[in-house]
Amino acid sequence: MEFNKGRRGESWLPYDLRSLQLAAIEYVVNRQGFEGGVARPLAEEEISQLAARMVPTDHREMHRTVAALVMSWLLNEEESDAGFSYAYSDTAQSRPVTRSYAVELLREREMADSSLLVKATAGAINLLIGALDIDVADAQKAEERMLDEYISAGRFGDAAQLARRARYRSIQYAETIQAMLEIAQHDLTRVDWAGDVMEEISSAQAHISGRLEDEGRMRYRLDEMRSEIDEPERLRTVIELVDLIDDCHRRHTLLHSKLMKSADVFLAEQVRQRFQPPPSLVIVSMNREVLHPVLRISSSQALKVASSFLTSLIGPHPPEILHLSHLVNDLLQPRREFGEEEREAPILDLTQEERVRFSPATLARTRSTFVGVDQRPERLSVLFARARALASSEEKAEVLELVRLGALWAFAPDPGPMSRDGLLPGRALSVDDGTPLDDPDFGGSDLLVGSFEELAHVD
Amino acid sequence: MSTNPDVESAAQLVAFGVQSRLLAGQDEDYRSLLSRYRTDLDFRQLVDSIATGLGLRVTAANELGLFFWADPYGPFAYTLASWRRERGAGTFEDRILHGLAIVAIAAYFYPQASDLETERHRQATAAQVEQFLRAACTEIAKESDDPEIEREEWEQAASLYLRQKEVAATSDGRRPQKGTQSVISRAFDLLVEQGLVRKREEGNLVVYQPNERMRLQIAGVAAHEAYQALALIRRGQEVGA
Repeated sequence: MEFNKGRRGESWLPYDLRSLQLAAIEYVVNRQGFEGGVARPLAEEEISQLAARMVPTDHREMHRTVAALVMSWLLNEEESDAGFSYAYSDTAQSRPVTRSYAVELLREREMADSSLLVKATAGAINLLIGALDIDVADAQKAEERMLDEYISAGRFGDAAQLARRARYRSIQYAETIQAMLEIAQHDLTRVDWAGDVMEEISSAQAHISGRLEDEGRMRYRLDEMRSEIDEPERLRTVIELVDLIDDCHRRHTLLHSKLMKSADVFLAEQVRQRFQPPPSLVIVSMNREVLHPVLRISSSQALKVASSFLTSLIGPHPPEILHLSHLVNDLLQPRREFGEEEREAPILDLTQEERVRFSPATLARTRSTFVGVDQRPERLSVLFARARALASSEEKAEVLELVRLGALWAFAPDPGPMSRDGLLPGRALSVDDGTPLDDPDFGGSDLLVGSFEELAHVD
Repeated sequence: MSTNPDVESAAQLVAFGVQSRLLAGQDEDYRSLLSRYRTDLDFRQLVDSIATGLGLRVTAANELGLFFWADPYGPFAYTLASWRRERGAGTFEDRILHGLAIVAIAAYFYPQASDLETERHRQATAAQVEQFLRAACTEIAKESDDPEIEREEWEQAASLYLRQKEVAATSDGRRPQKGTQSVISRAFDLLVEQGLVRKREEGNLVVYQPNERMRLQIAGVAAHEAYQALALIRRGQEVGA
């Protein structure tokens, strides 16, 4: 991809696509585990911001295009590049043969709550650590031992680096086990329960118990050290290390509970699948074996095939429930034809005589309430307090209402009067981090109002 | 009136399954009934029997939910005719185009047989699917030199499609209602409505992504149904010739 970017045009040259790809994988891996992954638009936003830092121009559209391409490439969606692969020489033959090895790096999965998340594969995590084909458990143990030594020797920078790698290992372990469980749920015959699976589970269990012990010990030592250190730089590294180790600890506990359940999953699936004949999978190529033949036959026959495809694709469609109000509306509606040009009501220009609801003074008060949020995010409760202090008693109600509207608008900003009047500083955003609002006049969440750059990543 | 709690639970699970936009993750009861279905053989038989009586067949049961195939003559079937009733698809030509659009969308998302084997959420826009379908039609039109056919029922589907404009311009520059691209957008909208596809707007670009339900329905039954229907037509032609 990096090699071919020149083909896409001049403007692509300054972007280092390879490091953008690595950054994308890293971003996804770091959000994997508890959250399960990251939504694609968020990942694209992150990469496009990185691209913007890489190539400081105003072409936001271009940054976005680059980010979208990087993601679709990592997800193996680009037809022409035939997936993410690298070439290697196979010297086992009489003559060396160059082969390409295709790796799936990121994949999108639908969660049970219907959200769609991007996850990194074990291969991607390997790429991040810079090592291929190393047994996860062994590599992790070796790294933990090093980490222990670094901490004892006070080499915190190195230790932090290693702790980060250890965390990637933990995530990788969880993914390997999860993948095995998923295969087993679909088809038990594809996994070797008594051999590979039992072996993997017991080695993972031993691994976790060792890990939990080590992490506890390291955590204890770091806490001891923290009280002795007074250089701010070193103290920061130590705190970062503590956070990393805590995160590893949480991930291991999660993996542990997954392992405890895995035996039940396997047994239940065994009962379930024993009585089931193996599915007769006649999977068809939709393009060559369905679409093309349908286009070849006559229109009336194509209609029959397409109809039966539609019916089985959509599946059950519960009959609409009849409401009297709908019925009357439906009966009064004229029959619509496809392709018929819809008549649109002439758009009346309603903006000419704008009703002035808020006085210029009120607007000015509101504006000064919001001053500075682009530098430092503020809670809505703080903004209310500020507005109450700024506004005179007769305009107080209106200013508060406008502050409330402004914060709500920033929750999902769209162009309109709000942005036109410039009530909030440019690129404002508000997020809900779950804190409830404690206010005599208003209820709901205590939103954080700030700049897009600061808050786009707050979940 | 006394009820049988097992039958009631089984029927409740069927009721959850026929709601095309509901997933097990969104409902506690759905989740627990589903896990009972996956582990309790008697319960499973009960659910399957109730479904069969209603003209349904289970195509997949996984952690996302219970998925059905609906008998085209049963009460739950959704057909091109139902779509026409709801939206009012006029001419024969319109119906063909909408049918082709649905097949093309499926083929764009999952072109190879192997694409149907594992979860995949490839993105698409209406314009991309339009180009994909048009390219397939062009390829087919090249290989057969059909004599001019008077009646459109006998015209090859590919050439009928190629006669259509991609985007029909409107005199006053409004969003066009005609043209194959808007046919494909409407087909996407139907799939979104039925919980098979999700829609995302990026600026003024509309991007569609298939849900796992779409893959399960195609791999489980729809692809096979279409293949069978095609085989039947082919056999009929051989006999007729």
